[in-house]
Amino acid sequence: MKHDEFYIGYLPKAPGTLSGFLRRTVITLAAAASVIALLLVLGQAPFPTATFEFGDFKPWEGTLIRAGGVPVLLTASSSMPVLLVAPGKHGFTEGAHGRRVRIEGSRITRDGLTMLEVKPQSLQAIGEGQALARTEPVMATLYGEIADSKCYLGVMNPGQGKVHRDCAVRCISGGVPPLLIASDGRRVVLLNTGDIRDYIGQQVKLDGRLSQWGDMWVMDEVRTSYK
Amino acid sequence: MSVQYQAVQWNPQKKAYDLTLLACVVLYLGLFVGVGAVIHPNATAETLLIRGLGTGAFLLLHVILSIGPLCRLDTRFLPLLYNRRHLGVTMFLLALAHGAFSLIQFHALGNVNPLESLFTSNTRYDSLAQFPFQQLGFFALLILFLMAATSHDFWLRILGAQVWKRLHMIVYAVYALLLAHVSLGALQSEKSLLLALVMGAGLVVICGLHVAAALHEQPVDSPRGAGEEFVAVARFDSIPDKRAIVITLGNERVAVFRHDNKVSALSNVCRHQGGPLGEGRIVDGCITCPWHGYQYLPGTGASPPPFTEKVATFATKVVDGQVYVCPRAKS
Repeated sequence: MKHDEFYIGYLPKAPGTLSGFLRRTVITLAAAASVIALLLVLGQAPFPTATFEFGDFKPWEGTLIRAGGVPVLLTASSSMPVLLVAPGKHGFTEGAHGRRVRIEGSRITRDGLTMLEVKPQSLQAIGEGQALARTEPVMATLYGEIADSKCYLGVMNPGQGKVHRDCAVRCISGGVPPLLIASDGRRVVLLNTGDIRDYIGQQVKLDGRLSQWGDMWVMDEVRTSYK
Repeated sequence: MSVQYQAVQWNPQKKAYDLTLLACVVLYLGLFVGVGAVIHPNATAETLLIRGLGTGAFLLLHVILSIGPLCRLDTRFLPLLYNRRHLGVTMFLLALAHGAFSLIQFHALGNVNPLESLFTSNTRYDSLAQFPFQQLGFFALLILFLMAATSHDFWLRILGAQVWKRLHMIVYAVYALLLAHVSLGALQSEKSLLLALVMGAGLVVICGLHVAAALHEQPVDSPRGAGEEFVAVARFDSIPDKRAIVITLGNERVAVFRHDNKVSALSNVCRHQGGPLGEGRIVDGCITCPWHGYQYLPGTGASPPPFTEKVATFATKVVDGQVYVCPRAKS
């Protein structure tokens, strides 16, 4: 027998030749693990540019609009409404529709959309607000993936797809507005969707009344089906 | 061997084993998270950590499953087996961290309890593409916990070697669950062929090593001696001194040792974890198991005092240089 040395683990030292073999084996294993780690790192899909200024609460002012259950803040600086959510996987429920308010929030941004995670109890009503400028809805059919707007816009990265699906279900169930990542490139906030739990995180077809709130696309009375 | 239980019976080689293991785990996670953060600056730290811990645990499971067949094919790998339980516990801890971070990330801070969320967020059991893969990982983690919790020799003694061994063979069910967990989860989101190829290569290695080991063992498993009083097993001179040959008599593997111009035949199965005694040596007058060094006296099959383990022995005789073994164990 070529390798005749016998190893007993509780003895102080392994036999000499066996030690050399083990050293080579461990080095080979460590090298293989390093190569696999690098392959797996490189094999990941690109992570999109998205930001979540976690814990960095800044003051914001504007008109609180609640339409179709989705709260947004209309600001003077942009025609794109700012989506509002609460911390965790919860929708924002404070404040009354149409009032001018001051809030503190952490900014979440992606694809030209902005969301604020509003600091609890930070809302102050400071007067009457402005009206929401919206276009006349038209019936439309869109295709794409339904995600929860909070994670998709930057709280998680990636915030879409099969792996993220359970989180999106939990967020949308908690009141975070659902968002369609449409195959034509648009990002569409969904209102009055009914129970869409089984359709989240996969490619689906949506029929509904499409309109714009300022620069933000919105689909109301959504009917979802498998593509 | 020990007559009392300790959390870990540390010795220099176990310490070296565990330090090497720790270094490899740190190297893997460091590379995955560190290089990942540089290459993917938009990735969140928790995502890289979840992925690093998950892939690290799965990779370690491949190493664990490879050690058994590697040792059958080449005994120089036996030192890797000596402390394999620590690999298993480490793998469980990595998987636990992966599972805990994932549960917090995907299910905490919602409108229901995270565990309730895990089982109610996705109920598409009717669709392969949409199958709730996280639940598969949860069940794999439960089994890993069971195995890690019972990995100590205390439980080996309580459950008995056979039950303990069967319990720990469920690791293959864990491997199957994790293959499904990754295939129906990460591979559905990550479209890169590279990930599928790495996982496929792992499966080929595991299956290939097990098939090779089975083919290697096939000659030993050819039974002989049905109905005979004594069975001729080998020439005395063909058995190396202080070592054994392994044969199968009826349904049992028997190790036939030569020592001091005598022969002894014992069950090949160590009472500790079922290690192959016939691949051991006679050290200080005792048959020594190649897995963990458990010892038995060649004549009686009993461990030297104060230990109480005992393996079955078989009557032997040598006639004209030919070794014969009775195929029935001594009562």
